[in-house]
Amino acid sequence: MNDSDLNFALRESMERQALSAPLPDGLLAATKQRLRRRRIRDGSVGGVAAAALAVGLVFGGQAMLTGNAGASDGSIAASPGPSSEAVEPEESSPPGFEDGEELSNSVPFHNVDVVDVCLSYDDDEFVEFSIVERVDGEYMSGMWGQTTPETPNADGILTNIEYMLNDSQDSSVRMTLEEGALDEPPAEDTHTFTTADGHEGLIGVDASTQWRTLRVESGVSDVLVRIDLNADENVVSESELISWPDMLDFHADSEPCQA
Amino acid sequence: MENFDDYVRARGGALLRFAYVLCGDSHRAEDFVQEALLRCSRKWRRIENGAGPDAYVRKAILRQYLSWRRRKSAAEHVSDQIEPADRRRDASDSLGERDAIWRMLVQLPRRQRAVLVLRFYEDLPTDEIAALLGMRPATVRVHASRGLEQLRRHPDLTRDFSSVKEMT
Repeated sequence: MNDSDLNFALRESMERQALSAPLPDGLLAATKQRLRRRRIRDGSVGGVAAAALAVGLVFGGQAMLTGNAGASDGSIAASPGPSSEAVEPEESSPPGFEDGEELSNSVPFHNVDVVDVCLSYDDDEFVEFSIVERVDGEYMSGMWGQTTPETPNADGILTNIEYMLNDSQDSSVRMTLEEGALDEPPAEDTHTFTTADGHEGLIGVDASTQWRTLRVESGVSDVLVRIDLNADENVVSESELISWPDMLDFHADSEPCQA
Repeated sequence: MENFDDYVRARGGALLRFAYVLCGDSHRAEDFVQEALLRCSRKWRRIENGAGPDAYVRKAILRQYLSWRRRKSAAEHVSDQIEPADRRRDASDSLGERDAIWRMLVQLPRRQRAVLVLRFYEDLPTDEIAALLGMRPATVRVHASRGLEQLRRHPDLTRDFSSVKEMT
């Protein structure tokens, strides 16, 4: 096979795979639904950065864990249920997008022994997060999404994000990242902390990419991850099946969550 | 937004295929395309009045792909057990080579893969690839060269690729 044959083979391989790929239907509707969800997030923006971020984990089919950005005391305390101080979404819809589209979904997790949460800002200044479950150290499933669009302030935002975890024994814990703690990453790029019930957490910070990584270990099972964008609307991000077998080690890298 | 709807209906399949060739996963491809379209929809009037939506949307998909891989690849497990989409039709050496190439593509670093996809699937010249990926043309050629070198060394390829001509 000569040079041009290889080029042809390469092109043909891609085209063949593209043509045989299982493509989903309803791309337009799905995109609109995603835009609708994002619009709600846009509408939930308050004056405080990340004001409406809420991450809820539901264990054993019952709402047990809710994280809610917006608190300011930097405390670690038990607190059930979603925030009741959500900001109302804006009323206007983007052109061509109707109200009343389906907003909810759910992603069941099973037999979780570790929940990883990864937060970051992307180029468009959204807060992004990833949550994955692992069983016996093996990645099982995960989800990711984006939260409130916002303009990072001079302090780097993400100053008030709370997570509350409940395990199968219904012991709950809520963690609050201390205000400003993420703005001054230590040289080793990680913070460690211990939650009220003794769970260890790890925050990885890469100042160059503004990644914020939070990992919480919890011996729970039957976990459902949910994103609460305000008190009335529970919006769940897409599930994501990726191979992530070595989560524990990535914190040792100088670039958390990064190649 | 009617034009946006028309565009998605008309070009959605092609966009999904492009994303699929990039990432090798149909679900992830859909996610990339949806996110790219969502972001483009916010400034659609400007996009459609510009050089044309295809280039803009394609760049948005590329950003999604590169960004996602950047986030996940630190711990992402790359398997050499990935099945081609249509392995049952693999009845000849030629098809076997195509599948071997595909499996190799899946394992390439994201920028090498993006360059090869843009070059061989999208048929773009080096300058356009450089503009899309935000890198110099020389860097594009380096990525292409290294990607092709990986293919050249793949043990499953039954024919002689030793004299593969690198992209110029």
